Parts: sequence; structure tokens; C-alpha cells
Amino acid sequence: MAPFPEPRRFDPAGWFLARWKLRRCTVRGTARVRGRIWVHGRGTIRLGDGVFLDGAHHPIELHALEPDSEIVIGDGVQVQGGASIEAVSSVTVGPRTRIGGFARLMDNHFHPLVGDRHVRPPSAPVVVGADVQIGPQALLLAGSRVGDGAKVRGGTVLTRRMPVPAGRTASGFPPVIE
Amino acid sequence: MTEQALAARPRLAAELLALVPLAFSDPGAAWARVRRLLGVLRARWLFRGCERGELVNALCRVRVEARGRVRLGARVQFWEGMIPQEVVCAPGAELIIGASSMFNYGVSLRAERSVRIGERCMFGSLVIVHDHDGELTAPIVIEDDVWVAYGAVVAPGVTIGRGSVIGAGSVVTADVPPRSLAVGNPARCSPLPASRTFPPEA
Repeated sequence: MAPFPEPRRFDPAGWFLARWKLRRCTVRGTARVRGRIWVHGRGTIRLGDGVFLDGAHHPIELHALEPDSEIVIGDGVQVQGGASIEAVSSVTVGPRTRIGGFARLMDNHFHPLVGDRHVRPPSAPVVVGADVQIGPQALLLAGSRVGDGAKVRGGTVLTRRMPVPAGRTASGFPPVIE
Repeated sequence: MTEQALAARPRLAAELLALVPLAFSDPGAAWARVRRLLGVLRARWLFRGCERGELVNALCRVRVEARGRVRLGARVQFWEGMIPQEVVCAPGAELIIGASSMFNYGVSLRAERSVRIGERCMFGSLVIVHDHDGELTAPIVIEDDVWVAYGAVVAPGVTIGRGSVIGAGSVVTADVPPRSLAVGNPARCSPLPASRTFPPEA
């Protein structure tokens, strides 16, 4: 997972660069950013204190599509490169959660299974608790809920039918919860 | 661009002329149209050795390595995003993409023998369609109106039937019948409920 962030020291250049890269987000406290961050959409993105976005290897996508869509990332969350968070209604990530590389959190499927594929289906919020570990290439689809302290192994695909209770581990696709 | 060059391209000239009032009434739409125009020009450059239909659109720098036969239908779209798409065709291989298919960012298409993609297909981000995996090289056929969702992997030798949906993160290792939903690793198929509008009945 993410390298443990170094202890905070006064780094005005890094602070201004992070402020510039996150100029379309609301940051409470300080956030550390490496590499490229793609921020899209007209919604609100709120980052907590001590968030670490490591986009040095691959860019990180934060996508709040509609004016009322919302991404809330808690304090001390670490996000690895290639991870992407897409919100049409809301995606909430609790404090101290780690999100692995190329993981994806999305609260809408964007195309319906049947019917006109260019009509967006209704969205269901994604809620991730505190101290959760989300592995690389894990996929949290619309309506998935992960409890506090749970683990989502790499490559797992969670849907709204598979909430992960607090402290449990989900792995595989279709997911198995241990 | 000179007047002579514009006279030789009446459609481009009309497009540029229509931009002027639009830029005043709706700047956002005008900017989107400019980007689409630039995408079409970029696709002409990127796919310069390939057979391509009209208005093939590359909104980002697609990595193209076309040493075999690459054929793109009209209005194929490559969307922009974090990671560019990849279109690789080995010498003697064929890579055929039907009209109006759409590719989100990070899609990787590699043909060592044959990859055929139908019309109006939708590919989510980071989908992998490789017709070789080191041991096996077998042609991949993806028929019309297929939706391959985010991060799916299509294994060599697979045929995906018309109108099917491949779930996000699935790994497709066996043929998928028409109008079915394939989900899981390895993917299991179940029939999709019938729909009157889209995709059209086979």
C-alpha cells in the first residue's frame, strides 16, 4: 500500500503546489499531493486533514459530476496512483482509510443494463467507514457499503447487495466475506 | 488557413463558420465543438496508415502501433482521461472496429491475429482486449451493441454475442451468448431481460 508519509515539516513549495493541484476541492487542514490529480465536474470535493494523494506513478481521478454531487474524504486517507472516485450523488470515505492503486469507487453505473444505454440510471451513495483497507484494483460499485476496520482485498468487486460488515474481509469476484 | 484551403474543404469551412455565432451564444458548447474538431484532426494523424471511416475521433493521444490491417468504422470515439488508450496490431494481423463504438480511457486493444469489434459497442475504462496471452493466440470477436464495463478482461478466443453486457472487473474466458450478462472472475453468463428500445432485438 502507500508508503507511510514522512513526518510533517514546513514545505511552502509543496504546500502551494498541493493547493494549486487541489484548487477545485475544499481542503480542511493540509493535504499532500504527489504527481497528477484529475479533478472533474461541478460538484463539491471535500478533503480532510492530512490526506495523502500519491499520483506520482499514475494520476488519481476525483470526479464529482453534477452540481449537487459530493465526494467526502476523511482525515488521513491515503490514495494510491490510478485510483478513481466518481460521484453523481455522494461517495464518503472515512478517516485513515487506505485506497490502493487502480481501485475505483463509483456511485452510479452510468448506463442501464437494458433500455436506452445513454440514459443515466439512478445512483446509490457509496459509504466507506474508518480504518478500511481497500486493495489495488478493487471496485466499489453503486450502493456498496464497507464498515469500519474492514478489508477489501485487491480485485474485489462489491455491489449494493454485498455490504461488508465492520472488521470483516471481502475478497474475490463474486465477493466472499470472511 | 488560407481561403483557397478552406474552399477545398467546404464542410470544415461550414463548421468553422458555424462556430462564430455559437461562441457568443454558448461558449461551452463552442469549446466542446472545437475539441471535437481537434480530436477528429488528431485521429486523422494518429491513424494515418489505417482504413478509417468519417469522423473518427481521438480526444486524447491514443498510442497507435498499426503494423497490420487496422480498420475503423465511422464515428469511432476514443475518450480522454487519466491514461491514454492503446491500439496495437501486429504485422499480418487484423483489428476491425465497427462504426460508432466508444472507448473510454486506458482501453488496451492488441491484435496478434484478429480482433473484431462490432458497431455501437461501449468500452469502459481500463478494459483489456488482447488476443494473445503468451501461450494461446486466438481471434476475439465482439459483436454489435456490446457493453464491456470498467476493468474487464477479454481472454483470447472469446466470442461475445450481440447486445451482451460484461460486468465491471469481470474476466471473460468463455464465449458469451447474445443478449446476456457476464459477471465474475471467471465470468458466468445469465440472460438479460428483454428490452424494446436498445439494443435492438437480434
